[in-house]
Amino acid sequence: MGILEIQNVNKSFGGLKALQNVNLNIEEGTIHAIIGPNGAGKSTLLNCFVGKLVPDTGTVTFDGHSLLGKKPHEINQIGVSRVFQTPEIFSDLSVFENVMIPCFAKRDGAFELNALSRVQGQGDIRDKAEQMLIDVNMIDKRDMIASSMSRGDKRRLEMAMCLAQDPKLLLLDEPTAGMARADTNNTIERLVPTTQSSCWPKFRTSGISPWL
Amino acid sequence: MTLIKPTRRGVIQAGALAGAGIAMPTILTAESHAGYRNAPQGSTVTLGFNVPQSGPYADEGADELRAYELAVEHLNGGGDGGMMNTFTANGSKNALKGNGILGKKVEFVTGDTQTKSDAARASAKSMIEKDGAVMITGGSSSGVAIAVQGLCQEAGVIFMAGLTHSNDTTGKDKKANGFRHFFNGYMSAAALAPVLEKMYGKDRKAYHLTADYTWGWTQQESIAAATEAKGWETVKNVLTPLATTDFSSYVAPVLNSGADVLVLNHYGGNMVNSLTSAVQFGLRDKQVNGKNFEIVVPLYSRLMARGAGENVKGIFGSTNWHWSLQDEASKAFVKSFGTKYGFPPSQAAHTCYVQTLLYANAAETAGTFNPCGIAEALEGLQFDGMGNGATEYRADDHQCFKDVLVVKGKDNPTSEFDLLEVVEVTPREQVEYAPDHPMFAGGDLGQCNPGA
Amino acid sequence: MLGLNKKDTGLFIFVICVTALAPFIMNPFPADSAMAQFNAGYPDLMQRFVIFGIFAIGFNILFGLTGYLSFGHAAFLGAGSYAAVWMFKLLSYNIVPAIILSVIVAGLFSVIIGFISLRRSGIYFSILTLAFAQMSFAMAYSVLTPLTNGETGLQVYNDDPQWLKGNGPDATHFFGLEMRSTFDLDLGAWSFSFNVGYYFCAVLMLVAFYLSMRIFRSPFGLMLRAIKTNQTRLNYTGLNSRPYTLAAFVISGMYAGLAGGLMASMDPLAGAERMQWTASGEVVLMTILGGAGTLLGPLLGAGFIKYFENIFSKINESVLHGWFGFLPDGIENGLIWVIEHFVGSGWHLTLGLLFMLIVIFLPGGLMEGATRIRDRFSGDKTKKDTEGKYAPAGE
Ligand SMILES: Nc1ncnc2c1ncn2[C@@H]1O[C@H](COP(=O)(O)OP(=O)(O)OP(=O)(O)O)[C@@H](O)[C@H]1O
Ligand SMILES: [Mg+2]
Repeated sequence: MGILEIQNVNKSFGGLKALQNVNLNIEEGTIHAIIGPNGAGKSTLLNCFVGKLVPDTGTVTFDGHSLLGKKPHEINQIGVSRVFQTPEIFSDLSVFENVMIPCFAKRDGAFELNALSRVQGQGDIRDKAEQMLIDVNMIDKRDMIASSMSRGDKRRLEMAMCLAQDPKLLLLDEPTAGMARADTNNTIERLVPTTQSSCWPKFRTSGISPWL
Repeated sequence: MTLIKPTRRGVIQAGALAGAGIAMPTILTAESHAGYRNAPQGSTVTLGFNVPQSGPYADEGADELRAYELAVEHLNGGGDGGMMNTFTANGSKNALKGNGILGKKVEFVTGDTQTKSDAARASAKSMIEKDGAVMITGGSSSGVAIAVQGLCQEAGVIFMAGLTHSNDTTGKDKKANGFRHFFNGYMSAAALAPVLEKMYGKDRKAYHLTADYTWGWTQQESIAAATEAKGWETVKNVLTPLATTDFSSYVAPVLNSGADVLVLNHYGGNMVNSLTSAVQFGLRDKQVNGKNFEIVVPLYSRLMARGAGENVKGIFGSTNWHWSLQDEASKAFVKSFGTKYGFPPSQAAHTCYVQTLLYANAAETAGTFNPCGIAEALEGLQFDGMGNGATEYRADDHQCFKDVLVVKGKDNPTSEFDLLEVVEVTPREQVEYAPDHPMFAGGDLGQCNPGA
Repeated sequence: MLGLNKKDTGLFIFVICVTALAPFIMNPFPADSAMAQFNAGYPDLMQRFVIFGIFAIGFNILFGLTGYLSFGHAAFLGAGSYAAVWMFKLLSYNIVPAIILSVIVAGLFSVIIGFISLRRSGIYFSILTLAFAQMSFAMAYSVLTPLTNGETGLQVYNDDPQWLKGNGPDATHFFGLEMRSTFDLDLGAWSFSFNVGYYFCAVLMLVAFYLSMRIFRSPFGLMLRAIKTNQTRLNYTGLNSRPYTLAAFVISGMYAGLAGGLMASMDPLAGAERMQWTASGEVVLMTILGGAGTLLGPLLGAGFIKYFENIFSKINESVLHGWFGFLPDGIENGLIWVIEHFVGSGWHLTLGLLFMLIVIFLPGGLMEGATRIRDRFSGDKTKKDTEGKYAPAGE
């Protein structure tokens, strides 16, 4: 039995059937790619995993929990992270702060009223975020405002944010679209070893379609 | 650090020190011995005129300010002296000399009440704290008057109320440092009811629209009680928010209620709008219960009458004073106001002018600006020659008692100012009440507060 | 120091000094000179500076950090004032219970309004808060009259119970120290007022400012800023934005309640206008004018607007004649006719124009102006820093 099980998922928008009877069973520690032309429904499928969309019929089960009707932050808290097709980052914050936030979410849960502790004083979080930035080769951009980076860097940042949470399931929606060829190769190199090394979550799904 | 009750300038004076060293308080000025707040220093005395310069009562406020400036001019010996020439106090000529007050030239500061109690208090506070005003006067709304009166009581300066007609100002909200020359809701009702009975009969059904605040409530209560005593029935009373500008939804149900009289307990812009609305609905052309439908506006002013135009013709109400009065005092006031500004004064201007002169006279007779001295001089003061005939400042509640004018919208006005005609001058005895009358009970003057 | 980094400590010390020396700073002109008109160092106005400073600092925690633009914060200010006056009426003029209750009442009130309004974001959130505040205002005027005394405003009467008063003072006080007590210092032609009420409010303002600095620098503050820039990302990062926004809303509501309680403590009357939308709008203007999302901005904005409201509104025709008396009559009258529209009751016009200029040319408010001036002198080495910090206010 897989960690992620999708059974008979259907989703239509008005008359358009975006997903038709999708069945998928994904084992822990494996990498999968979902490939399809524009408008095939790749993003829609991922949306059904993170709580952005609710399938019309069918079930989505992750690690024993049904994901249907769960809120996005609840789904993330049980170990699903998602990199979006168009980068979703905190564009007004610094790169470092961008990476710290998922670390806080991982450590403190969905809500913590730590209004009087200091970000400066959170050694563990800062170390982890720093390590993450070193891993993705962005430590030199640490204090830049996220919005001022290139599109490729934003994607890498978003990926770093997701990896920082040590997710059990990492969903990447066209992670290399819009990147230069060199960056694309870089990213793939970066993803593959991390998935194989034992310190990283055993399992992730990636919808990689850079060459479409 | 020694802590002392506030005074305007230097309770403790350090004297001029060379350099920027820390000054040790050394010399006590005479002021600290004066024993009251904002004792005037030097050759001038500052009065604070706190009037609405914006909001629904801005017209009244502008006219009040004109009257204050005229009063200051007269007190300082300028102009023709206006009512200073006719004003008698306790049977003899007033104590004003035309050289300011107690020999000090009168200066003034102004503030905008915005017809909001908060803003009014803020501006009064700044006049007291920053400008050293020893007396605050003005206002065109009872809510504001009551709020500022309370402030003056706490701060220890005199408050001479401007246009305020709520029973509460000298009823449950009365204060020892506050004085009201203007009449009130009870007096309007007592003067109006007999005239209404005479004109419209004993068997009437009245529908009230009432501004939803202290003035509206107390006036409505007064009118309802007085007319019911004459046999009328009060069908319904509907409260309208002060900020209302479109009254059609309030006027529409009136005809179906079985009422044959509409009483508008509205003032200023409210009254202009509600009356216009009522007339547009054709209420005045209707017959109900076999009688002509009538509208009554208990508190009238010329400024309102002008705003409502044609619609006021034949409508009864009451007013504190009207420029067409033919006594010497009114004529003198209208003349000096008219000479300076080119048009006759409103009742708001009149009451403010009178209040300023009364304050000045009280200071002269008391020989001090100390609020307690002023209060003593004003309490029980009998005066005349101020346009209302013989008048008394009652000691029990600091309310003036005098004749009340019942007026009617003129059928054939000769000018844009000649809009009201006086139908009856109701004598003082008829509008007087005991200080503990239920409509005024519950308050307490407290002690006069000199603020130091 | 106090858990602040070096830069913040410097800022805090600066604010402490300015507040402590305000009686001098606000009265730069000799008391009898013509310029005395522009002196602002009298107790009432100085109290207002710090009280509205507290209000704006609190509002900035919500608006500056999360970007949720509330148009109803005056309701909390008003609720705080009413609560405080009730304490005066029932217990005594001691302001401690009054202030505590005003913060609690405003907090509870903001939990309710926040819980409902925060179900929406953007313009719908603003409209919901506005609707709630207007509803509170209308109710304070009408059905709640027994609690609020309607248009007259809630005040303390001689026959109120004041159970704990005993022989205590007849004016608001802090364990006997009367708020209205003022120590006047005359130095030559200058006159300075040191008012107990002002210093009391100033101390609370400093506490409020310190707390807001801590919030800005906390993980909680970081999450609030994250909400402003990308709430979707925050949700997909495993954080529930609703309790964060609600907490920010309630904290800023409590700040407003504190400001309201202090207002009543300086002047024991509460009027319903305090809850009107114009009052809510005022704090929005203060925050934007000063610089939303900056620490010092709201304080600057509050001071700026209160100065205009109280000083410019009092320049009347006769004052102008005093200034321009030396000019030939024709020119004098012409000039006065023009200026008159911008001072006195026309101060709104001046403020409106300034607001427009600032929003157009300094979208980060006065703080952006201050930083630009500083940069001009210190070269552009800090430029990158500022670009990030003063992202345009309001979303
Ligand atoms: N929220 C929505 N409302 C209506 N239609 C939608 C919605 N989301 C997706 N669709 C439609 O569903 C279909 C599948 O879209 P989806 O974004 O999943 O495609 P995709 O495979 O990710 O394509 P691409 O390679 O362009 O990213 C498309 O036709 C799209 O227009
Ligand atoms: Mg897609």
